[in-house]
Amino acid sequence: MKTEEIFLMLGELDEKLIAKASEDLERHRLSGQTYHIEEKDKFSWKRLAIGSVCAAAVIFGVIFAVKNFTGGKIPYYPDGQSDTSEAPSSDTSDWNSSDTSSTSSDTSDTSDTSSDTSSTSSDTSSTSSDTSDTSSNSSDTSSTTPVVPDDKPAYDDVFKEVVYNPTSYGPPLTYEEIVNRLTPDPNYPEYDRDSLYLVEVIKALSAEESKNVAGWRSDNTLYSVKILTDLGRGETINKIANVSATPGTVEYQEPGDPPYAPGDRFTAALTKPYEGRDYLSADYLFRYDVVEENGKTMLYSRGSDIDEQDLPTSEKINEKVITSTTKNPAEYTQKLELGALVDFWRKLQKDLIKYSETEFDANSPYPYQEALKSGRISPDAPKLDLATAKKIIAEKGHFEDIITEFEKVQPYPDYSKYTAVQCTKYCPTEYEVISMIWGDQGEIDYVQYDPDGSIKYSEVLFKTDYDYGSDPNAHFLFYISCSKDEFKRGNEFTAEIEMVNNSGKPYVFEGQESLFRPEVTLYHTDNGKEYVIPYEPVPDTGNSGRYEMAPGELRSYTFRFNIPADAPAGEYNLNILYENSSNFDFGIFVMD
Amino acid sequence: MEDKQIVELFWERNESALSEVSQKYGRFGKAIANNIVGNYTDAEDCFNDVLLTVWNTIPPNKPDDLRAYIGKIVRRSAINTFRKETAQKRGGKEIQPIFDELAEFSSDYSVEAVAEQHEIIAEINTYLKTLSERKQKVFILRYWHCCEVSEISAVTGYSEANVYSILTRERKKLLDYLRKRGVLN
Repeated sequence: MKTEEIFLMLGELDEKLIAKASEDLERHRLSGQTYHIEEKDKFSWKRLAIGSVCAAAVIFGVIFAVKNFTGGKIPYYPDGQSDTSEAPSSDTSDWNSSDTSSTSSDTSDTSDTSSDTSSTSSDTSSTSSDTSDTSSNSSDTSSTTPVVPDDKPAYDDVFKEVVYNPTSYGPPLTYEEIVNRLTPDPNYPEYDRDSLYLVEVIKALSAEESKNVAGWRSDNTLYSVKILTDLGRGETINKIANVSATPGTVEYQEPGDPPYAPGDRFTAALTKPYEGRDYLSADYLFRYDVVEENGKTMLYSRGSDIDEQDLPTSEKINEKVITSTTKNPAEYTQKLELGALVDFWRKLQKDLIKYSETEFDANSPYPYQEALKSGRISPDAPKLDLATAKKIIAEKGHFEDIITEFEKVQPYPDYSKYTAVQCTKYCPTEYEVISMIWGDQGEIDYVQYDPDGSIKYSEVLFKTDYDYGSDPNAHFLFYISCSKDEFKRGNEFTAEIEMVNNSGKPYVFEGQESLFRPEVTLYHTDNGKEYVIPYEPVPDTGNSGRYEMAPGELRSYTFRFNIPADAPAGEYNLNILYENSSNFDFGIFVMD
Repeated sequence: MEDKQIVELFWERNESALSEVSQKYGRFGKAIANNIVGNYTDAEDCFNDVLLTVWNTIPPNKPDDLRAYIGKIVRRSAINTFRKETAQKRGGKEIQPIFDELAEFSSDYSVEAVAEQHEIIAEINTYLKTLSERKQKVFILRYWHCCEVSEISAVTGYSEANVYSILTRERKKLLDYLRKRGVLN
């Protein structure tokens, strides 16, 4: 059987399996958010948020469950309004090309913010996110008590925590990654970013309005906004548009990223108007809350920071600020002046134009040469050398951390190719190679050659002596105790699961200890309906690390789940799975 | 428009079905094709061929899942284009590494009978269902959607290194499983 035949045969895989993956892929492509599970560099609040519901399977289950609770859609009624079917009109067709001369009295000053951010308008008092009180604490990186504003927050009566973004935002992207992110992709012209804008929220759209505007997509909040200023081009706009911005909805919110209230302002890299689409998307990366402080326009990020190497005047912070609901304070992680972001955006645009004029083969196995040829880097750009590599390896100790640090030193390796295993090479000089190979395991080697090609010296710099949390010999036993075995729809189902290392030897796993747990699925024995059961958060032990579970060691986990209102009646089994160990035995019954 | 309505349009021989498919699944189909053939122009041509195939096959077919139906046709059409391109020494974007990975499953043994292929697919489906949903998605995104590892990482939340690791491990386990089940030599 030829490889092509196998490939074509795989086209016939189960449609249900394909549908699940397709939905996630579509959601990812629409939202433009990147999901990195590694959260080593994030603040503890973020880890806590992630730790609470981080395993993506579980989170998808939560979303799935929520959607099932609500018959597939997530209702919300902002401002106490009832659901309406009429979507607000949006004029996204020509706001960029026309009417840029009309000035808004409260935004004209922001048209050229890069040179003088202190001259920006101070008319943001209408926003409900009065964060001015927190400015004095901005240098304090410890988590602060949320500041309660004088005005009653807009959405104070609604908040249910649902993490829509499975793993939240990962470590800041490198400059090259941002450039790649903003480079137009011919596959997705509707997601080409147009410019950096300052917008003011008019209202969050209701579920029905969102559905009318964006179709099936219901996991991001759509806002009717007034686009005030094209910060990238330095033009006043003053147009109305629908913008997809925060994850979740008004009722079901991402922790730390509450919905915007009427009057709130934020910056956003918006997509270009696209025929047939009545809304614009705000890239998560450039979304900053706008707050006037002491005559300056300050920006606060909600976790999606731009690397401080690229924004040297930015400040890392860790503040909780009540904006639109006391139940879900905005969690700010970076603070900077508006002008700094605008300058950065404009630099990016110049580089994007420069890069677009040169050929760059992103799939070339020789990224360094490609980058050099296309002008992305200069010939004197730093290269990873042995001393730096050794220093990074000594400091980090984990393969993925090392990769990340290597990429920071030399973003474009001399060689990179993936054929079943990934091989990346850095060549400090003509006769030296630092090579990284990883598949099941990872290894970093250094080789020095003589001019005739013979090996002069070689050294293994790093080697993982374990798989990434996988051990084919791992064996676990699961003991289950369930709250009861018969349920009505809407009942809470609780399972206490004990997991014992029965392999007779220590089991090693890498990552955040709070994420170590079996995956639990409740599935209908007849019709295949299944629900991923969320777990109760386990306290975060801090940074990622390498952990051992001793032979015979027992760990307990609690899983809770509300039987959905539309759950088919009948017998369900619990599928508990970790590595190659599983338990399928425990049955519950949902009453008709 | 709902899939069911689009399929009905095809059955009515209403040409607006084509524009509905283009609007709803154009991006999806072209993305798969682009990953296989490696350039957008060919991917667009591919998708145009796909529209014709869909027009010619519905009716008599009445697919329950239009997206999967179109995806399958896109893959076939794109592979044909890829063959032509390979003959002209123009490589695909992501498909070659995928072929390299799937080469582990290749053999001299010929599986031509449709029934036999169905048996293998049924076993692969059974195996995939034993995996966690997240790992299923990694597999499907790689070998059905032909996604790059970086995109799989972004969608599933696994790091790229873990995606590599999962793919390598699951291929090995699947191969063992298929051999044990006697459907593959």
